[in-house]
Amino acid sequence: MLLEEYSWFHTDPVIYKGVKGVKTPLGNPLQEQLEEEAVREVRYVAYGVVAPIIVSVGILGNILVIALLRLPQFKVIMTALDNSGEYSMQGRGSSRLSLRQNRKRSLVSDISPAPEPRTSHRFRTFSNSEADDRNKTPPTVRKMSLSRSVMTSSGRRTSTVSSQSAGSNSGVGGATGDLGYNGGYVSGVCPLANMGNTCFLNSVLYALRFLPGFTHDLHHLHMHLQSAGEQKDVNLEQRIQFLSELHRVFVRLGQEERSASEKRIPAFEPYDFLEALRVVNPMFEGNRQQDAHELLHCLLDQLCHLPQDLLQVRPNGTAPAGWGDSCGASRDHESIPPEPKKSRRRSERIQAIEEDSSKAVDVVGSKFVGRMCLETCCLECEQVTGREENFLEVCVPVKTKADFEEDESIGEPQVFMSALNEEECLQDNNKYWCDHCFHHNEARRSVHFSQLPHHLVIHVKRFSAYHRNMNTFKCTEAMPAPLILPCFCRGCYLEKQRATHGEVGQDGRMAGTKRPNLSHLPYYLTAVVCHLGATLSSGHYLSFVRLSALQSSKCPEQQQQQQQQQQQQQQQPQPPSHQAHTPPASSTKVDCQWMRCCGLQLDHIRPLSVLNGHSDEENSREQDKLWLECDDDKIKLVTSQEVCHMMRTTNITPYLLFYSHL
Amino acid sequence: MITSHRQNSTHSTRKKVQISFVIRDEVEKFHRSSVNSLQYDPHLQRLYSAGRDSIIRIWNCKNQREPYIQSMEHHTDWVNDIVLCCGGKNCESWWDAAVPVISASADTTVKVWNAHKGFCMSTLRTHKDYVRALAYARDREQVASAGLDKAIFLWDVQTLTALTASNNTVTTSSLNGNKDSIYSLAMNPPGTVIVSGSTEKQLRIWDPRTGNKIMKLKGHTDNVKALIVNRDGTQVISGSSDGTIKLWSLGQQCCTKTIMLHEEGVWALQVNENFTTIYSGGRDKLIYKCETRAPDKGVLLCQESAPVLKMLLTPDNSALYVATTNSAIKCWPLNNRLSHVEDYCDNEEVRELRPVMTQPDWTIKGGPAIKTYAVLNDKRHVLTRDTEENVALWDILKATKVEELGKVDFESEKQKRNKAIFVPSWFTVDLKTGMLTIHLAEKRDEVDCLSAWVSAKEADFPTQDGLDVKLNYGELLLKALFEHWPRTYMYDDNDGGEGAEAGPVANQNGFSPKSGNDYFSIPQHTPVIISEIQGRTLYRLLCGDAGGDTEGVLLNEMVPPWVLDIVVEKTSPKPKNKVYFFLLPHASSGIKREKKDRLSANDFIQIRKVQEHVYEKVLGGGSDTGSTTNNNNDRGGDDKAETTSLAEERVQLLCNDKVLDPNMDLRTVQHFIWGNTSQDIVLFYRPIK
Repeated sequence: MLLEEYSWFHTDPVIYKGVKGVKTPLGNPLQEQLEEEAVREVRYVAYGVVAPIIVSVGILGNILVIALLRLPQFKVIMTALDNSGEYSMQGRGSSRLSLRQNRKRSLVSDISPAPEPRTSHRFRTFSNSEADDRNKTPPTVRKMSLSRSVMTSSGRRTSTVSSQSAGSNSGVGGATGDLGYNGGYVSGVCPLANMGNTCFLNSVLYALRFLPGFTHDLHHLHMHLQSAGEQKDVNLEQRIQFLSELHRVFVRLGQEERSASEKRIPAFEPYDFLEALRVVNPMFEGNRQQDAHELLHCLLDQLCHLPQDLLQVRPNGTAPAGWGDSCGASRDHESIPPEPKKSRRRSERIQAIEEDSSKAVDVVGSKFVGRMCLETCCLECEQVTGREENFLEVCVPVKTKADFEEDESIGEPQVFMSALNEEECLQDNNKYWCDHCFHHNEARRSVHFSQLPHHLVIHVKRFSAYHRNMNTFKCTEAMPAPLILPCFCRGCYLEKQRATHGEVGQDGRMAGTKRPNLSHLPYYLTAVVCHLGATLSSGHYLSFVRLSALQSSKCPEQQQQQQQQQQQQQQQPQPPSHQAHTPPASSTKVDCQWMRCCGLQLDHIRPLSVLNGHSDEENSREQDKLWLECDDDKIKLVTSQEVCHMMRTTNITPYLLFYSHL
Repeated sequence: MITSHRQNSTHSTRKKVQISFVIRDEVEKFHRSSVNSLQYDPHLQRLYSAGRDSIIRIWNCKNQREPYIQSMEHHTDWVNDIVLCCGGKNCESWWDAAVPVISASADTTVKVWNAHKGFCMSTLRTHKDYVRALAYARDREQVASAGLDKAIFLWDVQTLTALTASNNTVTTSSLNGNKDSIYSLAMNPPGTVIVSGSTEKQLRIWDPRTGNKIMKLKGHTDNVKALIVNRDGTQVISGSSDGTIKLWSLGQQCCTKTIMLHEEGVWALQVNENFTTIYSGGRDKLIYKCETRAPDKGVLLCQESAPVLKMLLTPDNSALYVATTNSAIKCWPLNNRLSHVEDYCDNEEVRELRPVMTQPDWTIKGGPAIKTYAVLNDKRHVLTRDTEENVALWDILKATKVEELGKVDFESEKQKRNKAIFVPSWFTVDLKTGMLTIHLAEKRDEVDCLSAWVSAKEADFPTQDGLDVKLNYGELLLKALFEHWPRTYMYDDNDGGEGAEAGPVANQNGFSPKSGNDYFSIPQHTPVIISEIQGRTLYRLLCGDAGGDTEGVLLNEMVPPWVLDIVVEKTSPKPKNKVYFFLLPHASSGIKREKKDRLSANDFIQIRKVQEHVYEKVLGGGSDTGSTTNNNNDRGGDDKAETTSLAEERVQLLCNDKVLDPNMDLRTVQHFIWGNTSQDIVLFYRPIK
């Protein structure tokens, strides 16, 4: 028994997080230091040597161009020179030069003066003075500083930037230029500003905001937390603060969208939320690029556990003895940041969820929690030992068609499904000690999902750590996620297997056991957080969100309870304020102010530029097919085909996938 | 005699090597654990069975009362499969020829045996992981072996039997390209087709003559554990862990029929010569019979008491031998009682419940396998319970069974026999064969073979002059294991003189070095196994055979240096475990001492010695200089003994307010009275008037 326990423990990481293989080891100070040094060195070279050369060459070139422009007889030559200049003058900065030309022609205000700091902030190599400089200087010089940003972003970022510029040039992925909404920036959605390497934050916030029902549930949780009153415990207070800041982000975004009269809504800086996040989890301190998955995990963790922790505390009115007050106080005193929740093993954390007590207030978290069973089957005696656990997300290895035999004709959905049901074989030197056989035998370890959550988060294990230098290696192979994912829980899986079995074997007994189809509803892909770039600590995040009808719908609880009223509501654009609402927990009637508080109204969303070539408005408004590409402060309309195409071909690799029942 | 086919024996230097031995009876007449494979020799009416107890046994089917003929023992782990070559049929000079039996084992070897004389002719070490399955092509005299290392090797039986100690190279053709561990293998008699079944859930068909893969057959949803090919290599029957039996046509490259009779995995299949009747057994303990023409109408022949591992149909189709995870082998008759199969099948409902047969014709009895063990606190005795619920007490040091306690409660017996004494762990117990296998290794996982020092008195070994000698269990046992190895008692001429002085243990008692230790011997039939830790077996011999020439040569090669130091060089191991403690005057004694002495001593030092130290150095001698106890107190004369007894009377030692027994050693105090292994012990002393 002991041994078995041990072996479970041993392989836990493969299924969860923490994996040897998946992530950068958190906070290895030495490594960070080394990295810092390397960055500093590269930066020194970039600033000191390369940048001045390029700047001077650039200035010379521009003077030349201006001189040429002044002379009418050279005008014809100019165009040719300008084109060739892209290649000859500054090989690496060329993309920006061409970008300028695009901008001139289309007047799409990608870099047009806006009060918020922009794209450049994504790179911390930018100093404020530079940014200011850029705002003041005339367009040509500003352009140069932009091209400098390409250089200063020191080697490993260069690819990011170029792909980034490619992205902003031609919408999603270079090859999709012809598709409908390409480059169509939208109004009616308040963008989030990049505050310096915070695209990881923005991408997750976008994804959550457009997750059907999330803001609504969060609204109710927030209301509940507010009603719970002040907490004595500092730690709890901080965590509540964190969630209410999250709520406030959505409130502010909603406000901006409602009040905005002009075409483009100025980007919102979720600064307070970032601060609250750093208080709750000090891992996010500093201006470095962070892991979006880590953030999402931290967020969901808080959502799931805060309600329970509050419940635990409340009976006495104080925190559990020896932990709450004293601990919090000492922390204040010594200014030690609260211990990151990460340090606890996930299984422990989730086990803390008590089914009955959680239901009361845990409307948000419970929608993300599913149950899975880890099974080990000894290949000699075929004895299966299993353990049930809760999970917040499913980690999926990157699999491609190449992993399968050539002669197998297998579609992309099947590849994805097989990645979900990946089995591990304990063999060679890692045999399983079977306590039925008293022998080290081969064993098969598999995961079954006994219960899948409402919102299914799939984490694609793109990053694997090298053992020696602790660097992460990114698996860039494309693994397209299907837009519609059939339910793969244990019941549905068996059902499917039984169906195929029944077809193959013409056996009477099997036919007898066949039951009516009980499969669950399929999942729909609602949001994708994508990562660009080579490593976890660098690169850029952006997200794609589905504009689904549900986002603008009314309080789901109300829908359930008052179906008649609901029909009326749907005709009205705004929910009546007097509507009574019963939250699942308390029987007291509360007004659902969600729509007016932090709700999302899709009616406002429309493309900023006039849609070219798409005359039939109805077709284009078909919400299921429309997605938003949210790249910090740039939000564009794209079609689902473009999203599929992006996942299949570009280097914008899907990292976190959000599936929901619609 | 024994030919070692050594191709990969270079690893011995890389991996750590351990010494293991099995505690067992001289003749193990019954299988101790599951029986993995069966073979039948129709001419002599002999049955060969391969067990997980690492022994292949030969049974006389004519004598059903006393069927045991002999054992073939040389494997060190589960024997997974055997084939009986030659079958007697094709060999004209059959009586003269050595009928080889070839066996595959989890010790990663394939062994060739002389079936008549029952000895191992050669060992093939080409596989890198457990060898799981064998297949035999009778017409070509070819054997294929496959295992968890994903490789299939083809062996020519003629070559294998011709191997000698000098001519020990075999060329094999191998079939590579498997991605998954192979669990089943089949070859048709002319040897034109090999089928392999693996965790890949597919069948792979190979041509052994060219070594090419011909095709893959998909359809199973789990591991394939049983395979049969028909004579002309056109049809295959496969049994899989997914519970189905599938019939395949190699011509059409597809599955022609799927038989779903079993609720759980199908592990064993047999079919009659003309491929019309299939017998199947598996994890659900049930044995079905069905016709290939009407696969839906399976007949439940019988219900076994344990999952079926192997079945064997006698050539005349009159009986079915069944091996299960129990140690017994049952012979079920297949006579005309089954002619009413057709009528019987009409009654569908009953079929599910009632097997056709309830009693086997006869049973080859099996022995019990040890399933539970507990190492007692003295780290010398082990309490075990077997499958028949019998509890027994074993003495690991002497490699013998001490007592059979019968069907008593294991836990209470353990409680009763555990004394409050602490000895470091120095061996590990392994029950893979159903018998006690003891591993001795250099420090590994907190278990160090040479860490256990005990006083001779405690260990119940009489010493010459009544002196208390410290003995090392591991050292004693290693010496006993190799006591018949000439190198341990015979010296080269040039260092013969030194040898007389070597060995402190012997020295103390004034004996000249001789074989083994001075206290006990272990049974000569005890198998001694030299192997890589968690890896391959390097060598196995019986303790008493070490005197042989071949054995001596091989031992020279195989015995790891750390063992050589003990058994040949006679270096006594150094005590490694120290106990640190403070010695303070007890409050009631009224003695004031400002200096706090931190002392260290070997963990086996008895309290008596500390008392002595207190009496001499602290109280009597008056000098305060004693910062460490004198470790060499063991050697002493009469006056020493006197002081000891005096000290015991005059000084009392306390720890945690408990008065300590002079016979207790420091590590016992540390574990049972102090209770904290990470902190230094604080001992208080007080003089008694």
